[in-house]
Amino acid sequence: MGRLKTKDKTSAIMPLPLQIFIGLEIAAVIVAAFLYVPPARGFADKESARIIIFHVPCAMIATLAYAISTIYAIAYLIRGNTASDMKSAASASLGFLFTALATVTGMIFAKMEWGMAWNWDPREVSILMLMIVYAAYFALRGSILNSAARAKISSVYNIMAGLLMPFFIFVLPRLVPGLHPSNTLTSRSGLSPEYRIALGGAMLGYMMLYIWILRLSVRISEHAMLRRRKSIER
Amino acid sequence: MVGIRITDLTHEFDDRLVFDSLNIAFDGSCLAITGRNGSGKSTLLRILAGLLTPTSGDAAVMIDGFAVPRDLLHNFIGLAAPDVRLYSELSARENLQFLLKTRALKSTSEHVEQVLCEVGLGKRGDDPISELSSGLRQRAALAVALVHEPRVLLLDEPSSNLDEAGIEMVREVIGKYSAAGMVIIATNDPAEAALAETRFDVGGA
Amino acid sequence: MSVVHRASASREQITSRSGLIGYISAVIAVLVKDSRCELRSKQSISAVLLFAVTSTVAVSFTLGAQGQSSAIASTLLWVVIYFSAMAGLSRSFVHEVETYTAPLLKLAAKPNSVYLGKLAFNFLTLIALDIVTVPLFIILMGCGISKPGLFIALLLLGSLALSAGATMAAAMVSRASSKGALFAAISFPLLVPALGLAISGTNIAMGGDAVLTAANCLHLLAYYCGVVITASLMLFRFVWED
Repeated sequence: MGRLKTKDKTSAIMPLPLQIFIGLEIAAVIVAAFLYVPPARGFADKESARIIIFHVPCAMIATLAYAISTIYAIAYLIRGNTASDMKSAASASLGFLFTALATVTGMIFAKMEWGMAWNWDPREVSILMLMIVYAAYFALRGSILNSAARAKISSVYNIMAGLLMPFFIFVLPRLVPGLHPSNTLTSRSGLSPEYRIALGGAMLGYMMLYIWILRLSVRISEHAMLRRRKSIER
Repeated sequence: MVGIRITDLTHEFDDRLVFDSLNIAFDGSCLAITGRNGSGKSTLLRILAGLLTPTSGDAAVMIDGFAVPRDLLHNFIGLAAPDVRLYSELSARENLQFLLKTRALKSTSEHVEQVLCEVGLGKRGDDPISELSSGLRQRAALAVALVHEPRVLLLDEPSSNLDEAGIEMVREVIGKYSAAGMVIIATNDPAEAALAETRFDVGGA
Repeated sequence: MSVVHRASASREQITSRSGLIGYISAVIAVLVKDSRCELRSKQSISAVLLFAVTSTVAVSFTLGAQGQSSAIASTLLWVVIYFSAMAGLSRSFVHEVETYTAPLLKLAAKPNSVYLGKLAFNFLTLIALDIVTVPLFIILMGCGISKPGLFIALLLLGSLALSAGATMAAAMVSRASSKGALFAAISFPLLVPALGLAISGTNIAMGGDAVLTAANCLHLLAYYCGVVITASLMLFRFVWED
């Protein structure tokens, strides 16, 4: 096989010191969530709040990832370069992962704190809609064989779903009768400062992890495309 | 003055290279594009017609020295190809009238009648396409390519399915349109290719 | 070999219609063509109506005799309309691609004329569906309409909203391989806001209570239609053109 090209070494995708830092930092956050952070006051199940340290950053990165995939979708439609489409799809798949994680951690928290895994709370509704949009996006992508058509059509779908986000976040939740206002996480102000530190740490760690995996996955797509081009030339 | 300029045209269809760096500059009246099956003749016509965006390179129709932008090609190009079919529930006449309206063109019924007669559909113009034989459908497809009087006529294997009278009709149409504008024929048939003054061979992939 | 040279047939016989009039006549031409083809083949309208009538009967069979709350009735009505739309509206594009008539349309019409014409066709199909299904539903379910004006307004706006989202989704799915199930799957996220608003508003029109007021529902539905149609007009050509 020969030596790896310079830009394929993992150090080009993320510098080695940073890789080590990310690994240690996330490990530290996990340890802190269980050992450093005290049980939360003002929660029915005092231990349940620990999962918020992971849940909130996941949800935020999920939304960020979707926004980034939509921006790249717009860039693809304007410029037509496949790199933008690759980044859009890569960010979308990461976003899907983080959305799933946010949903599961949210359901665990809800079960521990309020006894029911699903409550039709506004935020739960929004995150569910985001999951459904992602699922439909990938179903669409998977079913179009021509690569140019796939890129264009999934970008259009991405943008249209993105335009409807205000409906998912503000309108849809309000249509559901019988909201439980106490479920919304305003109680975060009742959390001790250790929670803030841990939350910030998780946010930083996940953000860097997102960037790292995104760059890796784009590089892998580039490779797949290069290999296909070589087989065409033959 | 009608011309086509094809510069460095490369097209890949997913995993297959259809053609690579084609260059054609043609200002005459009739061009035949020949080549083996699968060599990309139909694809080239589609790219010229604006139906496909090539992977790289440029294919432009030049009218009086200006390249026609893709969204204005509707009224300058007519394409008749085996995989472009008419609406089978409508008659040939209705198809023609529809396609004139979508181009924002207004025409008299005499004009539509005349085009139908020209391709030999004078008597069957009001029967649904689904009731026509393949030869008659071929004639109807030709009518559809002609009805808006395009400057460039793109024909993909125009004589296939036709009887002798039909082949003669195609010859007349090509003669008439190459005098008025340009005709490009994609064909494997030597007799058809001989109708053109110039031949370009796309070869095999 | 002699070339028969005929004078180019009277250019005077073909004239072009100017700007907006030409555009509108193209849109109407697409609508008329789709309607004519549909009336002659009756394929999608029969699928849509059959589905709507059978599901209405199925729903009211078990629930109708007991007199249901407005919340349930309004939800069921729109679910029936929604799934009937899923059964029939994709044909507007899928049929063109399957019968190879799509290139003809691409050669002869501007993309937005195609979109608007097919949007109009799908909207009329849904209205026809409403005319048949809604009275049947009301009779079989025994539900009362306390605000008929609001009810009809919601039917109209809701049908427009459903057809706007579904037309775009149909265009997207026409390029894909597994068209049937995929159409419903990708339409759902796009149509959910419209569906929710229509159900809420209809609930109010049937005498129930909802979190949003009726005026809000109508405004938001109109806003939804505006967003989807405008976005579709800007994005359609990326889906339609190769």
